[in-house]
Amino acid sequence: MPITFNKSVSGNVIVFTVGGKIDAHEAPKFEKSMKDGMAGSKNGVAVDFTGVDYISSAGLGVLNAIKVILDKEGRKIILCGMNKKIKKTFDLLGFSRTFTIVGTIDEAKSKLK
Amino acid sequence: MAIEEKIEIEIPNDTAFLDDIRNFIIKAASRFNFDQDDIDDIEFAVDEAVANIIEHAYQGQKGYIYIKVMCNDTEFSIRLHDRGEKFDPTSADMPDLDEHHAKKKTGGLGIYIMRKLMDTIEYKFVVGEGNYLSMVKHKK
Repeated sequence: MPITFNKSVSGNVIVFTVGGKIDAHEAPKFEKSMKDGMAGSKNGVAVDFTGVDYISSAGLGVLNAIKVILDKEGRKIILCGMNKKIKKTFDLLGFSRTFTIVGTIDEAKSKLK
Repeated sequence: MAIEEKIEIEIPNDTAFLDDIRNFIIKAASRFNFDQDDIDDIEFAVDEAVANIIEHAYQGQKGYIYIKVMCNDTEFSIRLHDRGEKFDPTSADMPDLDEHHAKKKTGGLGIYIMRKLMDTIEYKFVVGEGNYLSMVKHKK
């Protein structure tokens, strides 16, 4: 099943809403959508994982690559909306320590304002 | 304990089939009442193992992956066989997560996931046959 990916802008925050399973097959689409959606902006990025029910190491690798770009540009990224399974994956692989993760999209937007 | 169920499938070495493999694995483990955490672990480890075979063993060449699952009330056992280039995922050093993040790496965690989530991993290469990767998860 292809992932779903939507972009919206709320104030000075870019919001990406992702759904589906981000595995090795879908990771390239996830990466391109993220890169295209944040290009040419100085705004912070919030990624809402509410609709994501699987993420593999390929999907997590995309997040690391995106974070490198945003760090260089002095922009922040905050992740939110993870279910228990997704959070468990982030915890297992140490991504909970390197990314800011909050509960809801409103909390993410508030931190990025 | 005797093997209670044995299922074999073969799939093309294409990441488009990863979703089908995960669904197949989930159904097999669910039938033997593995709990959700165990099922999540098996799903993740197998997905990473198959993705590794597609990327490293076949390296873009056409081929198939032969999957054999054996389940009983105490363990879930899976064997992945491919006819690609010799590729031993168990030979790599266990990745250091702190170093991985410090260097902002974007790949290389597959073996970490397999070793962390499965109880046993074994690899063998047979000349003329290819790679065999076996993994076992014991029920909690």
